[in-house]
Amino acid sequence: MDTKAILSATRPRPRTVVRALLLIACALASHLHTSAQTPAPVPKDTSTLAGRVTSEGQGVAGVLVTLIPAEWNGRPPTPAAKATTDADGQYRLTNAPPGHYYLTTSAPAYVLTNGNAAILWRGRQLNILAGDQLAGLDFTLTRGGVITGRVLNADGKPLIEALVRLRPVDETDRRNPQVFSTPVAPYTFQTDDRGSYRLYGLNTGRYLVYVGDAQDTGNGRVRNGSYYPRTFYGDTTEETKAKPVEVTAGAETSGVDITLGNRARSYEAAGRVVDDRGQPVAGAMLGYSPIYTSGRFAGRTGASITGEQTNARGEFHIKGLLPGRYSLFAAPPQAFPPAQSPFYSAPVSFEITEQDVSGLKLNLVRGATISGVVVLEGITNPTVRANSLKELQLGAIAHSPDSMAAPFNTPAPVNADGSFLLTGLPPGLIEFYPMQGFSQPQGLTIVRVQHDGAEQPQGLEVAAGAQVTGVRVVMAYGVSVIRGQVQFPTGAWPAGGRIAVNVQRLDAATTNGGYVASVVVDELGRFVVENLSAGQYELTLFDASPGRTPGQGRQPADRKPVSVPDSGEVQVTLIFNQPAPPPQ
Amino acid sequence: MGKTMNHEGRGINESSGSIRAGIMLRAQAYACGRKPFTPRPATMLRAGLSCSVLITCALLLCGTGTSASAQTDDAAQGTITGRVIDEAGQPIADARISVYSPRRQSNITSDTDGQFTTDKLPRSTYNVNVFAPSYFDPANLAADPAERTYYQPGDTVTIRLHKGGIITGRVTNAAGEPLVAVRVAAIRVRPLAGQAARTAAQNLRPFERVTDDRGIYRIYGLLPGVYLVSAGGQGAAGFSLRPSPYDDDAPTFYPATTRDGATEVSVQAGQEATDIDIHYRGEPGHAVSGAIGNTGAVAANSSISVSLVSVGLNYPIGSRFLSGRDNDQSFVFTGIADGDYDLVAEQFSREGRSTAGSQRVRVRGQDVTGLKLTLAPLAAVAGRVLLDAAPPTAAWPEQCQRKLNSSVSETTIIARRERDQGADAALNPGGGKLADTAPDDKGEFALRGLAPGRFRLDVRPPGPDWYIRTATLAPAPAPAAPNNKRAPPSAPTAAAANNSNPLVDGLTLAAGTQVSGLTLTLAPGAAALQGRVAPAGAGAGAALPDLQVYLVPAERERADDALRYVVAHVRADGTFAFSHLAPGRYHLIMRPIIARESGADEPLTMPFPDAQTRAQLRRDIETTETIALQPCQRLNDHVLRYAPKN
Repeated sequence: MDTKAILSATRPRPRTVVRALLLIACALASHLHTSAQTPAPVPKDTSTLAGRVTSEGQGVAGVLVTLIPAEWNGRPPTPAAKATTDADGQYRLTNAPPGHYYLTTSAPAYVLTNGNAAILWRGRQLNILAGDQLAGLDFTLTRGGVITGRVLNADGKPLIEALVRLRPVDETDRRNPQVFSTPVAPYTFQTDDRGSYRLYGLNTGRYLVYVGDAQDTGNGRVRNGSYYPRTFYGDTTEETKAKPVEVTAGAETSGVDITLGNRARSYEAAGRVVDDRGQPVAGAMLGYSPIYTSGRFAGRTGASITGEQTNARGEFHIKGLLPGRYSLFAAPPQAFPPAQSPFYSAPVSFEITEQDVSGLKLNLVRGATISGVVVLEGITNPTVRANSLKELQLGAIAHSPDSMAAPFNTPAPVNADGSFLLTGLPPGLIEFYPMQGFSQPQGLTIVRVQHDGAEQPQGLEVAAGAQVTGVRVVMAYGVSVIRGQVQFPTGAWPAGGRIAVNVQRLDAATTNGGYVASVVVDELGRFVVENLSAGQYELTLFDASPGRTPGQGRQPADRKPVSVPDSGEVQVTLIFNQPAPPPQ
Repeated sequence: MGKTMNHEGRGINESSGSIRAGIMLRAQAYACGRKPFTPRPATMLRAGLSCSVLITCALLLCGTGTSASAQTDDAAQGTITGRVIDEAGQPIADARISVYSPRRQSNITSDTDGQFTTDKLPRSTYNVNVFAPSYFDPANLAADPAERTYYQPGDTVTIRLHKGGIITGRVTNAAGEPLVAVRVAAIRVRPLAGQAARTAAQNLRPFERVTDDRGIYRIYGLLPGVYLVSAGGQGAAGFSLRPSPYDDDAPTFYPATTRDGATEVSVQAGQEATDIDIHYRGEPGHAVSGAIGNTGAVAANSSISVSLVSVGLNYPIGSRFLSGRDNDQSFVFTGIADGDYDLVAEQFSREGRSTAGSQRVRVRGQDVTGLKLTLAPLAAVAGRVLLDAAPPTAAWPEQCQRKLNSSVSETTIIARRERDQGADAALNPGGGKLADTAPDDKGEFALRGLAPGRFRLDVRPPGPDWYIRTATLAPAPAPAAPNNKRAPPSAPTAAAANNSNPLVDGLTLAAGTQVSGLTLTLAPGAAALQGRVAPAGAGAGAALPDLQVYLVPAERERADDALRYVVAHVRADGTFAFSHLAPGRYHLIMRPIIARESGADEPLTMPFPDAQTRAQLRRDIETTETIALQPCQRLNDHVLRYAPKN
């Protein structure tokens, strides 16, 4: 699922993404089935959106057009408005409340081929204002391509419910999220009882078609100690020898049959977990993160907990590993609800080639502690104050040389008097973040972190095993809004079709360099930043098109300081000046 | 060494078993219970979910709570091994096998030879569920849930799956154009003619697929039976990553109608029903929405499933899952056609199902909103199993000595509700009719989440050499209360032994009753008797009628011991079998079974006849032969002559 894509589209800072990902994955899991919630009552100043859905100049009837809130708030949003196209392809959404949305179509056999590349797979991003009457929000569809074939095992028997996957050959295609935009439910990517599959609604392009697993596809299908090694069309496990499949819009490529080889054995990694006195730790949880052959490291986002726990002798035995390199870590034994532990794990990397690995030793190291007090600044309203402290937790992420140290650190509860104690921290630069229950608190932000009176704008440096006391974490509450409009003097959007605004706080000493948020500018040139507390901010406009390397894409197109009041709304205009291409 | 069993005679979960299994899986994700997942990977995929997300989060949120399987357990005794094969005896690879008891779950898959071996399991009795896509388990067609087989570590099991049926066709709109990615569901409304009348598996997992870009769907792995096929609507899970224009429509049934006019489709095992084409009507459905009314009854570490069960189809058409952690305990079903439904909510916590509520909903041309469902505690039965110590060595045959190495945790206790009783059935169309458990090492057990009604208890001793000596109930069941204190088990009384025995007479449970103090004493030295009935006299050469064989205690001092009266059915081939018998002398009495009214619910077959039957049997004993069964004796090939009286 492309949760990752959604997040990285709006929040480019990886360390923030990690946290959000975990949160959202969990929220998704707990709420997957409660998505159909009663829609919020429609405010008075609602808007109307209209347009036409066409294919080859003809209106397409019966296409569902939905307006989906962009923010998840812990659960998948339900459409704020929806309509189905008429015989001429026309649609009209009424009663859309103001807000930040994606306008999207549901036409699974088609691909979206609007000229405006700003349409990513979630749809057209729109910040709708009260009373907007928006017309001409058109969608151009092209009948997608189709790939069909069969999947057989080495005995020539059909493989039932095998997962058939696609990978665009072209690197630029791979970056184009639209390749994965086919709104086909996941199960149609499976073979049926005859081993047949049919992938439809595909963009024009060249694809590798494959079945089976390798380290970078995850090991979810490893069963009983064996798995089907990833086999491409062309019946090879080597990517370089795979036969690409040419897909043309509206055309069907059939006979893309794959015969798998024999199942291969998966491997095991065994070892033990000991504490700082060398004593075995029972009940520790084990997790690992793959280190891909490309050298790319899945890191925290790619980390998975194995379900394996150490026995009374501290021993573990992780099964079902595919060949490759891994970074292994241990999480201290935890109760439910998760509690603070004095330990963190120093990760160990190992490689699986053609045999099991044993004798791994993981140390649970007694970590640093940080104690101090959370101060709520400028919050006079007793209700807001009480709500701010309710279930408030303070989390800490260590930016260590070893990024896998303590990947699942647990936030510490903030007591009624504001005091907190964080334990089990690895050495490094510590960044704090607030949590409330299982989500990030709305409107509550850290504005300053002080240690012994000194501000720590880039993070609090903590040495191994240090006991840091007297830390003041100052939080402010605010629900002010910056409402922005981007103007395009040259009249043109950047070629990649995506621009974003980075929001940084200037007058605060937060532990993350003042980073607040990064928001995407919609096709109307609008952007909105919410839940801001009073203070001095700086907005940076930049080209955030996919495929741009950071150096090219992140050159500011405009920059503007903004003063945000205690409560209310600030209007800002930014000018998009195409930055000059960087020197070769 | 373990016994070897054939799997085909196994029974099945209560109705709607797999929906329940799905619920459990998600319930675990919330509740972080130690009672393990029941995996339904295929169902999960169909629902468009990522299992790994659920499980990862369960682990993140729960810490050590869920991964019981990873902990080493010194009580681990052995493995259950087996093989999964098809009708032709060919191995089925990659079948997903779930072996579970209240204590432990082992999820495994078969290898290329169809073989599987569980982890080392602690002593307990285990259920075995097998799933392989496109196949079904014929055991799921068994008429009587009592036929379910339980396994112990050391056992070997052969599981023979059959190829399921297939329904395929095309969905088009009024203009004849194909409908893409519309959900199609196959709903099994009854068994085929000639199949067992009471098919527990009727409501097994919803078979849902979506059409492809040509409007073609193909649903495979179907149990043989009579189906209705519908297109459109939200689907059972009510969630998709992509909204579809058909989500809010009332389903169109094959060929182009509402449910009342639907044409049935017969599906045979391994056969394909083709051209089941649906002309989609696109009629708007209605919404049914509401919330849990008494949110105070919702525990934070629980999850709640809310299902909308079609009364006409007796089929859950959709389920929603709420987390006890949420402030918002509301639910919405859309795309609902006019008709009568039961809205059923069940709360799951670490221990299992704890509360439930239901409400009849009538949908007539408009949305039904603002429903308030009230959750009420479910009944539970708790108690203890005691194993009598083995008697002095000298008095016992050598074979007894060798076999008595049993653990109390290998006992199986099953509670089954006697039958659906009118309006009561409507109140509880969901679960609570069947529960099974195994005691812990101390012998303590609890059967939870029971619906109101009259329950029969089926107690299966830990091995063939144990029998049930006594079964007693503490006199006053504690009233329903969340924190009721367990009443101490009382000593067996003459009254309990003579007049009422929970195993013979069953337990009647009102809503929320918490019965405690059920004490079952098992004694070693059980005997077994197998034999056959041979027609004699006037009956010679004729086919045998339906017969039952009764054992009646011959010792005068045992005449009042209700557990010494047992009954067994005579099978079609004339054979009968008794096991777990107290050693002693018995009269053997044969009686024809009086034919039941056709259409009536089949009564549950219980081994212990009621007081009235016992009294009748005692009047008949003068004319019958007696046999003596020594401790641990296996008496085989005992021949009974059946000569009908003219």
